Amino acid sequence: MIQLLDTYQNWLNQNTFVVPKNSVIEVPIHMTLSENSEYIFNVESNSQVTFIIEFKASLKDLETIVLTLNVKQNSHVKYVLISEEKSFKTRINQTIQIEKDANVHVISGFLSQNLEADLNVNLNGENARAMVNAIVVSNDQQQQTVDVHMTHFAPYSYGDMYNVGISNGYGRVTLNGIEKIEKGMKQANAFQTLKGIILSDFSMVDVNPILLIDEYDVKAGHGATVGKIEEQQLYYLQSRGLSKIEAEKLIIKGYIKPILDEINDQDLVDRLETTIYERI
Amino acid sequence: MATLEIKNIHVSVEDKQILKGVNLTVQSGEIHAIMGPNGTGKSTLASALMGNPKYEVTEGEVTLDQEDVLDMEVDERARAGLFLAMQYPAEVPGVTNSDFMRQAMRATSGKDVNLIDFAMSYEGAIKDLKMREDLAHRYLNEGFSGGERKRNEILQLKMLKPKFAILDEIDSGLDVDALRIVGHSVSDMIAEDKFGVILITHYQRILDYIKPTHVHIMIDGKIVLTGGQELIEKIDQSGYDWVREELGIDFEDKEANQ
Repeated sequence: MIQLLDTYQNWLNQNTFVVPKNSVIEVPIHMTLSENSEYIFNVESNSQVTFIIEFKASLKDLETIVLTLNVKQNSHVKYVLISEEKSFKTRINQTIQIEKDANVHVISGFLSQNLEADLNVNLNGENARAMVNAIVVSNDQQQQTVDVHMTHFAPYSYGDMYNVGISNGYGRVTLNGIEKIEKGMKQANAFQTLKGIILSDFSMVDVNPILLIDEYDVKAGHGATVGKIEEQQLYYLQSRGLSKIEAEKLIIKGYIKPILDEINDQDLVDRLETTIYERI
Repeated sequence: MATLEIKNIHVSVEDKQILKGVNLTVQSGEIHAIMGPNGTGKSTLASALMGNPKYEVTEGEVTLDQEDVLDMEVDERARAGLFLAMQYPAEVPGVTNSDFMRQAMRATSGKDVNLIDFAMSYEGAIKDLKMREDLAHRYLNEGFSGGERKRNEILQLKMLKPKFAILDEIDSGLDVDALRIVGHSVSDMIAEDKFGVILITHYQRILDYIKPTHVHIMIDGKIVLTGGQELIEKIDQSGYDWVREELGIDFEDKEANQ
């Protein structure tokens, strides 16, 4: 079920939400999703919109949601998806189709206790652009896997991802980033940065950045790091009076702040920060 | 009036003994220069006093107004009033200088820091040190040149107003102009706030601006000679060889061997 403000009720038909063409919506559209179900978001051409979508879980053992976002020519979409901490196990399957000259910025905060999230981004038209940011935080015995697949089906397309996984306690986070450039898709750009931060002796983060490139005339790059917070960074901050915990929080904030800054909803950012800091 | 007392400390790094019994007492308002050839343990003393986890104190004691410093965590030492201007400060991406500084001021003073007062005094200090105006919004030391990092250390010193400042080779890598700015700035601060200083240096130039009240020569993990400014002149003219001859100490000048 989708819940949203009355203003946009007429764009909603059961589980499908359609933004008509030439709509420029300055204020973010907030939605709350609940129940296992399939949802479709269509943004018609020449539109501009920000979705802030929260997935509110009931306390079921397993919940699955399937989301599809279709962005038509020359539309610009910011798409924020937050999965809440209550759900015990959540599966989120998202597909994003991006047409010519359209631009999508995906920001995901995955805070479900156990999670499998798949995000498939298809760059279908020339000059289609996607930026994906995900934050995953795990603690206790939580297991979280985030797979991001981006496929360049058009020349001059641009795909970038910056994903951060933080693991504490006995938590385990897996971040996979797979970016594929098909043959003939010249001048495509594919970048990926994956960061894993381990906060306890028993937590784990796996990061797997993969680029599959079947074309010569492209730009691509990837980087991945996993590790504990650097001892010398902690020492430096502590030498100015910050306690170890304050120093750790500040350093982690440094990793995730660039992502959180993109969410234009201060209440939501505050809530996310609170949950994140509780886990670390 | 505060007193920092170092008694017979021995320090090891990765099981290699570097300091072999250092004694030093510093009072508020005093400036102690520690000089000596490279690799004799000057910076080790600085790091051990601050509590760098790489350094292990195996013997001796350090007290600040009779409180045991070696028993404190790094942050407790800072809150007790110690400050170390580091030779190689870490980079912390994503953390802005102003966020960090404000949190550090809150931690060391134990009081909330008014945002407007902070912004005013921070901007003033940035100007005094002739640093880039956008410094507050840049990430902590990320992409800073060597000289900028050193100046950022001095800027932090200016904001935090400790009881004792240890300045670990803040002059190395600075060009003449930067050295003058840093030198004047530190000497003005000392005149105003009367804190105690341990100034570790390898060169004499910085001592033209910051006039020490005591000069110590450290060789092979020990302070072998203590005097006044006349020692600086002697080192300036004849290096450290005379120390070897006069005191009959055999040491290796690691720099000369490089």
